[in-house]
Amino acid sequence: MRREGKRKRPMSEINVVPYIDVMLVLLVIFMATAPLVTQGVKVNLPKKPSDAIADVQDDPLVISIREDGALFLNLGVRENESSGQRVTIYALEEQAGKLIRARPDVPVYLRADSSLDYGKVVEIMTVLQSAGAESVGLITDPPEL
Amino acid sequence: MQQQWLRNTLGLVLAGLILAGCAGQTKTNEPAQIPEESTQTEAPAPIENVEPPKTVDAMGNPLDPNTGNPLSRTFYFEFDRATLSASDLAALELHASFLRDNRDRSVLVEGHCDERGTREYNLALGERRGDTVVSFLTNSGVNRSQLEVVSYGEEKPVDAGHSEGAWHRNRRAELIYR
Amino acid sequence: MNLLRRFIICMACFVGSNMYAGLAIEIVEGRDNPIKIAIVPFGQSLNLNIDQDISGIVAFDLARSGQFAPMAEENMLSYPDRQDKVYFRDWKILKVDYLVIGRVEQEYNADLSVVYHLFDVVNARHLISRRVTGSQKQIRDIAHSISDEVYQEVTDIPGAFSTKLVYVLAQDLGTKYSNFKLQLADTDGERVRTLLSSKEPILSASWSPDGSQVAYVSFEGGRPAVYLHNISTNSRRMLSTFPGINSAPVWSPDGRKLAMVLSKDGNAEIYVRDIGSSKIQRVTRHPAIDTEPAWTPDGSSLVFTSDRGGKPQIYRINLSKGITDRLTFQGDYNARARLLPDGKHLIYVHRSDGVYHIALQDLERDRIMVLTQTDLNESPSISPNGSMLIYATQDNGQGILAVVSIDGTVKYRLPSSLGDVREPAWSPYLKSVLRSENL
Repeated sequence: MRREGKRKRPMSEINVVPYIDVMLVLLVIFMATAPLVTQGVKVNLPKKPSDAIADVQDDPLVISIREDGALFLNLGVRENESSGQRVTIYALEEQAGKLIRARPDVPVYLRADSSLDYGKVVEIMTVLQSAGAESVGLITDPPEL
Repeated sequence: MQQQWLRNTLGLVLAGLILAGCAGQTKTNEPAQIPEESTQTEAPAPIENVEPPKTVDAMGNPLDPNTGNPLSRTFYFEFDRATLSASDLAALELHASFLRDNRDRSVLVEGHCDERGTREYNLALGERRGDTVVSFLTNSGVNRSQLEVVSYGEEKPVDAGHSEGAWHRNRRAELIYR
Repeated sequence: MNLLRRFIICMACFVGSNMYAGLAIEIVEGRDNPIKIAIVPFGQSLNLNIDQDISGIVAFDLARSGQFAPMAEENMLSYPDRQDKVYFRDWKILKVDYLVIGRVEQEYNADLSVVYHLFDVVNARHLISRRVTGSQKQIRDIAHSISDEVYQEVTDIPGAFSTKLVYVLAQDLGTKYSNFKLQLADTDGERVRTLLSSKEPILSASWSPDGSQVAYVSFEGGRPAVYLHNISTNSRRMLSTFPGINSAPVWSPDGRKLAMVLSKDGNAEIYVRDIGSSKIQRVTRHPAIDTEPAWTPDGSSLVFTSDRGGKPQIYRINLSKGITDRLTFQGDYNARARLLPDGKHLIYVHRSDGVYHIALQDLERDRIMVLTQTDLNESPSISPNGSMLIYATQDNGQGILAVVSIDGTVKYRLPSSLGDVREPAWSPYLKSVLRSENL
């Protein structure tokens, strides 16, 4: 009873829960290089040395965000074709949701252009989270030495 | 069912006569049975008064000459067995004597089984039960031509239940007078 | 496994809603690692309005085989209905092993033609391209033929989804309204047709090897008689009505003879009747009960039940030499045997600890495997591909049919809401009524 009373009190602060959620997701993220994903969409990846993703052959879902914010999925295309399928943010949520329901252990990776602002990346990660992704891997290019 | 059991057992004790357990008796038997119990004390009297004692009831089924009650026409068997129980022999002997006295009457002997075991095997087992009854009757002097056996195996239960009690009531041979 | 369960619940609802007079299927158990297959809803041209869901029927066929776990339609990432719209990566990412797509078109004469393709997703290979054509009424036949082809291509075992079942529906037993129906249905319980309705018992249905006729025992004349019933013309004739028992008819593998049980010579013995000449040959000669004959696949011998040893056991008799040998030694009740198509395995009713099971015996190694867990199981009948068997059992006192795979891993049940169902007989392979071609 008491708890309900508490809940009804007017909110006096910004709701930071979703941000904390995203931060938690980010904590889980491991930075990685993905030599396999050398396709299509031109994305400048952040240069950051990190470990290669262990099992890159495990048919991951890869979401690419182009410099201009356009989204691409590695679905609906031939494997040898270089360009991904361009999708809206709603289609991204739907397709990712289906896939995760059918195959809960699917690895999900995000390739975001390094010039993108942080907010855009967080927005996509929030979408993936609501689609059921437990963790999202960020793909980086190996640093040029 | 249980009530009827009780009723029958009561009747059996009171009359002090051989009456096979008739829990599973066919419908045609019931009208004759109900007055038997409700008019216990007066029932034997009118029969004694009638000069030629009635040998059959309204359905043409034989009556017990000692009591005037319908003869039990259902005989029960043990599981996977086709041997008559000793308590049924007296009643069967009365059927035999009726058939000896009435050579124009014939009987269809139906053999039945409980649901356990395979259907075709039970068909053969039911026939064996029918044959047991027939050989008892022919040994007692009934003509073979007065008797016919049909085995229904487990196909025609009187009790569609699946308990020991239902199985017992279904393992039977029935005499159908024609 | 989880996916399969979810699918099954989903399909059970679907099938349940479509049931009117037949059997409902409830899948009890499947294989531990079923093959993952995606059957995409078939496309159709806009003017077509087909109420039957072909891909759903195929998915349900494959699911109840227990070998496959069809994925839920709503989780598919794309819905291709032509070969050029298939992107293997969309299926690989879903960890699907095989993919079936198809499309329904209408022919100029109103017939339906279904073009379908089967793909091996893992190796990105195209396995089958086929066109099946049939009338609008044959849409379930079309679906089952697709299931057969897919099943055979993937498992190397011929599918038996286009076969039929006959069984007996008994209603109001133990009352004066009791009533028996000989029913014909698809193996998924659909499209039920009543072959015979009677106040008196019907049992022991057996298919002719060409699938055109069914022999059975009917008590409609007050005594048991054997009838032969032609399925397509729905006409029948009485074959045998000797005094006493006429029962357990079974067709010889060449279709020319019928083994059956008669008691005309005193007690239940096995006879072989030549259907053409009506000549009868007595096979067994024993004061014990001899019944429930079944042919060995080569037609040289019969196996049968006999209580000549005191309890019912299974024996084999060579028809030309007349030599009898006993086949079962474990347990005190073994009856109603049937042989698997390989002739090396025996299926029969086996009682142990008072419970009636269906057991499989390897005749070469003499090993017994009990395939069922429930009680009062009887009347096993084997599918023509030898992979499954259907039998009668009880659930809460109601007679139901159940299917179990020969290895005991796959189980489903077919209850009927109309009454007790029993005495199932699985048909042989039937002549296809459809036109089909490889593309």
